[in-house]
Amino acid sequence: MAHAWLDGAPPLMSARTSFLQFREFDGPLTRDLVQSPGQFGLGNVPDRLNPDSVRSSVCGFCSTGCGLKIHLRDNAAVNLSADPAYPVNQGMACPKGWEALTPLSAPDRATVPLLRDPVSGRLEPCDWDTALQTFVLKIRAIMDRYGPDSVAWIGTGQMPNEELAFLGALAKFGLGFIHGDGNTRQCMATAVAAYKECFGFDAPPYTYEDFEESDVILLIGSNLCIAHPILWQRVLRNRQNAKIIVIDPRRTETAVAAHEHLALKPKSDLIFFYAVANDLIANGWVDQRYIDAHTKGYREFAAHVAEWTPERAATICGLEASVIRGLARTIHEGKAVSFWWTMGINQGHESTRTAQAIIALALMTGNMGRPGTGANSITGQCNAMGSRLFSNTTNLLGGHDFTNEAHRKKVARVLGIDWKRIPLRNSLPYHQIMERVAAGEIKGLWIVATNTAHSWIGNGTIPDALAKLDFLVVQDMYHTTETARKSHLVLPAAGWGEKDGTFINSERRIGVTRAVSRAPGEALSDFRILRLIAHYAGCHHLFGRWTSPEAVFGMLQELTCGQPCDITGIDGYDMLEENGGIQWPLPSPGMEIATSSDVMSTPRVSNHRRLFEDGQFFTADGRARFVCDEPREPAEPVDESHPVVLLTGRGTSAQWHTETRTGKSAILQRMHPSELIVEVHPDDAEPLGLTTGMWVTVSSRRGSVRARALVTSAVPEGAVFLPMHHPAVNVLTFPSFDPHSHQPSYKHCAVRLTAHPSAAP
Amino acid sequence: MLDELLDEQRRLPAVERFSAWHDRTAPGPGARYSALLPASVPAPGQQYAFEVNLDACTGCKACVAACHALNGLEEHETWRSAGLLVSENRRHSHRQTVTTACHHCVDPGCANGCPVLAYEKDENTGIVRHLDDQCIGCNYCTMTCSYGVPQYLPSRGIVRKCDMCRQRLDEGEAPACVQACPSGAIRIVLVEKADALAAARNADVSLLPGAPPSRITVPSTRYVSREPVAPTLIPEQDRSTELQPAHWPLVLMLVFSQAGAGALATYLILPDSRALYAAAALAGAGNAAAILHLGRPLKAWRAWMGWRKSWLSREIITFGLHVPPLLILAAAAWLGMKLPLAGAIASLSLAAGIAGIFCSGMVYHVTQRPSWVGGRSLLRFALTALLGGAAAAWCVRPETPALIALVIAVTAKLAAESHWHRLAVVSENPLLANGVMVLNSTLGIPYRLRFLFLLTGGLFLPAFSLPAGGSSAAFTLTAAALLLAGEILERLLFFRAAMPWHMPGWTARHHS
Repeated sequence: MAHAWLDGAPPLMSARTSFLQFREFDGPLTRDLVQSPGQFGLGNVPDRLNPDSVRSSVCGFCSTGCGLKIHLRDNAAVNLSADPAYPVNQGMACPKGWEALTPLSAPDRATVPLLRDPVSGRLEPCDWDTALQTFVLKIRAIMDRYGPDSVAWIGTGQMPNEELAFLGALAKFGLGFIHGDGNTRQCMATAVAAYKECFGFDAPPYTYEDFEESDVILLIGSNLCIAHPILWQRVLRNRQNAKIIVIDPRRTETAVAAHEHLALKPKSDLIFFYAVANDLIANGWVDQRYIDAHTKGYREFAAHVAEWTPERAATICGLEASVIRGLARTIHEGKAVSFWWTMGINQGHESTRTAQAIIALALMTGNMGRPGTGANSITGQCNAMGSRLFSNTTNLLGGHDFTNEAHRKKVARVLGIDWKRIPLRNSLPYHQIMERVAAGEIKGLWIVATNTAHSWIGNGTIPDALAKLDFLVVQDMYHTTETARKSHLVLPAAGWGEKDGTFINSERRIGVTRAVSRAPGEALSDFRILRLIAHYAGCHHLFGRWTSPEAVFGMLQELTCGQPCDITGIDGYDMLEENGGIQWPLPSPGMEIATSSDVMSTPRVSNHRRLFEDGQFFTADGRARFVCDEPREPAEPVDESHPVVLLTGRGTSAQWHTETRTGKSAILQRMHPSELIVEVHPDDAEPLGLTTGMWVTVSSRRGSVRARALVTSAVPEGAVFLPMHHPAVNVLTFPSFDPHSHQPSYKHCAVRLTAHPSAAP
Repeated sequence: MLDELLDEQRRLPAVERFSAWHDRTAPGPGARYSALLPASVPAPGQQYAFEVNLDACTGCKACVAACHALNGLEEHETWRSAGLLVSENRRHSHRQTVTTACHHCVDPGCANGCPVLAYEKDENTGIVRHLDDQCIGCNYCTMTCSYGVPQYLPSRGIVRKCDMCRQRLDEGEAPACVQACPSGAIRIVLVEKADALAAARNADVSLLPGAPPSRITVPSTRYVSREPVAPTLIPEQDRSTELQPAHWPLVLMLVFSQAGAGALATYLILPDSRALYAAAALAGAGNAAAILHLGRPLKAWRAWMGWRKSWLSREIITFGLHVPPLLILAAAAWLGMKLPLAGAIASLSLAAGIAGIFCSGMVYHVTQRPSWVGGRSLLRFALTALLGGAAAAWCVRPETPALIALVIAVTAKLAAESHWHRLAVVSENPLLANGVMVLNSTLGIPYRLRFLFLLTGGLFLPAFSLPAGGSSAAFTLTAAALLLAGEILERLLFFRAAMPWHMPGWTARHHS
């Protein structure tokens, strides 16, 4: 028997002899799977794919911001593994991370620009020169005729800071756009609005280590186990024997894993938190010293919640008053209570006030600025946090204000442009851009790395709206997205793994993402596409310094100088890599900023830093704010014709948003049902004769979708759940928006169910 | 500028820029997994096993993806899978993810079924290893494993499966799935094989709700949780309604070989060489079809090796004794040669053929698929032989005795099949119920045609032709062709509607 690797194996693996000579223990097929020890701190790896070098790169899916070790052979990626040295994920990754390279080789990558042929009506390949000339001519023609309000762009939280900044700067300062927003409006706008008002700056205060140091962890509208599995890993590493409480209408994976699950009624959350605050105040369980020293508006807040007794809230929330009181007691008894929220809060009709109620709970109990505390928004996309600082949409670059002349002058000085090029007006938010598109007022739309036609709330109106555009450009990795199919011009973009840049994760950690794979065909990084557009538009002189992502990073650092997010102390990408990412702020030594966290004095930066340890906030008076409001009904309450609430959300850890990428991995596709599944409570199923496996139509006033029923008590009675990844789901959702953050309210609309007992699959 | 940027995009940054990485030696994966591996190697009577802590498994499915990546598997291939169990109980709202891989069974169905000894259950570790180069790609292990573990790879012509990352275990490193679990929910433990056997003895015991009875293969995996798993939990998407692979070569092989043996029996009763030709043609075609089913037909000569345990191996051996003498007899008859002992040879060939049909029945019976057990395979195949014999008799001598034989065969088939159908309809086994469901829906057309062909070819045409003063050759052959087509459809449905045992939520796509 010739099986080389077995020769050296310990006697454990016995190799039988005798007539088994007929058995081939080795050969080409066996050798396919032979492993060998990898270098670079890797364990056994497939011999075929044993890397000759590795490169670290931050994952490009979610905001957890895991470090991946990309395995390279001959300078190109062949495999990857989770980086054990990266402080975020410590050697773990979720399935999307493990499969991050796979979507790059999908057959439907956009490899050349595509231009819609006016005669055939089809998207036809063209060269870059034609594409760029068309882009500039069309946009300019629209702007010349209808003015600067007639064009807009929709960006993303999926691109690195350097590209986001370039897109925003080119559009607003170079091309003269006024309006641009990003898909971060759909996920994080609420946290931004809430933090800005309460803390004076959009500043999630925490470090992931706070998961490990709390003795009470509240997860609110957050299915951490599947939406951020690596953060759940951090929860499991908690050393304080923490009590984990999940507040969510659904019995999610996280609710099952927690110690306690408070299944409140959908969108009764604001009242619920007011009632908890009421009970804390009634029992004197507040940290008056902290409130007096570091906050403002507490008295008004206390007066406002006085009417929301646990008894009154109980009926509305569908929970016993004792449960609400119990939570107040748990918060009171906890020494380090952390409050974490995600989309269940952010995507609500009064979401900003709800997030601010959570912040209020943390402030009034003094759970802020200490290890294991905080009112902590867990972000969505890999660079949602970067988009909040650098996308030049809602904020002027670097967390500045378009309406502030000093800010405009500062930004212009750093960029070396005339400050008058910076618009005085704020952009329209996403939903108003789409309304103006539908009204025919916006005639040119540039969509970059997002899939509006799938993801937008109430997306049934999108095809008609997009059809009104004179010019729709989609810049994407794939020419097959629902949005790209409707465009006039597709610009083929390189994806994650095919370009350099930096992402900022949920805990404000800036990490580097690297080019490790060649982009297919003539696809170009967004950075390079933007350089070309600047060139063709004749405004390249404004962007003379925008030559490489790292050069731009230097400018972004300069822009943050003196801001709460000051990162002038970072010395290039290498320093970021050597430190396993660096959290903002990191001012240059000697720079004064509005927080007193341990600023680095050694080359190594502390890997886990939180904000507000000194109780100083970013407001003018240094005090955090209590903000409250009158609770309101959801925009589309249930009624007789549509008696069921539709909840939408993440389906599995293997799916990402509109699945333009995760849909390309056969492995990820194996991890969720191939059919759309709707979760229905037994009490709602029974009257309809609905059983598991049966087809059911879910319809709202805007459309309907067929799904397979899964009868389960994991959804509350009177509600159904659909995963958001199926394109038909957002046909159902009702376009209502939080008035402060303009974030769509995906978590509540009215639907009805129709069972199809005999329908074939 | 355009050309410059296109060129820049195509160049990747040189490795040298990242040489710092070569110096950065992160902690190897060894140390922190020690808690997830047993402290010692298995003692006699023990083996390695996966232990899954259901309370810690929260549905991230990293294990599934890491298995694929760290083992360097094919695009769609992974040896671990994750399913979801939910509760309908109003008072017990629950959601339980289940991660599952090969159970490295104490009595492995894959190894017991393999005709070429391509499975090796390691004496010391208990790991059930697949010998990829030994495999001939017959797919039989995909049926004998009641957990759907071995997966066929058309690109390689073989199956592959989990080997518990034994190469990693050899280095003291944890398997890929164990390494990759952020919650530490998967461990390697030592189990006593006797304990696993004792636990599996109870007919009702299974690893999890919806999983196959453990008695079939005695799995070693342990699922542990604080509270026992409620038996009322149901899988999120019960894949047992999915159509199963058609296995066309097997369909043809079974029908042809059984009909051929029937025709040979007819020849021994009515020594008409046309029956002999029919028997030889059918048996020869059946054997040829069987070869087509293999991923690596050139290695088919090994198929005798598993005879001690594998019914497939025995089937191949018996048909190997049945077909060649039959072909020789037919060739001799065709050439007008008189062979010595022709009668004895024919009888021996027939005996081997009957043994072969029995083996065929056992091949499917031992899989323990509910729609294949007992008479559902054995009697079914025997009746096809009977029908084949009756049809051959009708073809060579379309007279009353042959008609009576046909009527008996057709009636027996109808009676048996309607009996099984009735049992399935009232069965509490969801696999049987789902099989009936697909026969009545997706497979409704072939299901009805099957009966139409059987009745037309086996009863109506012969019954009409007999009073008409004998049957024309065309008429007879049409009847025979309809019967054959009906049997082929029946056998197609036998495979397509045979819902396999599987783990809850197991999402392996079959490749036929």
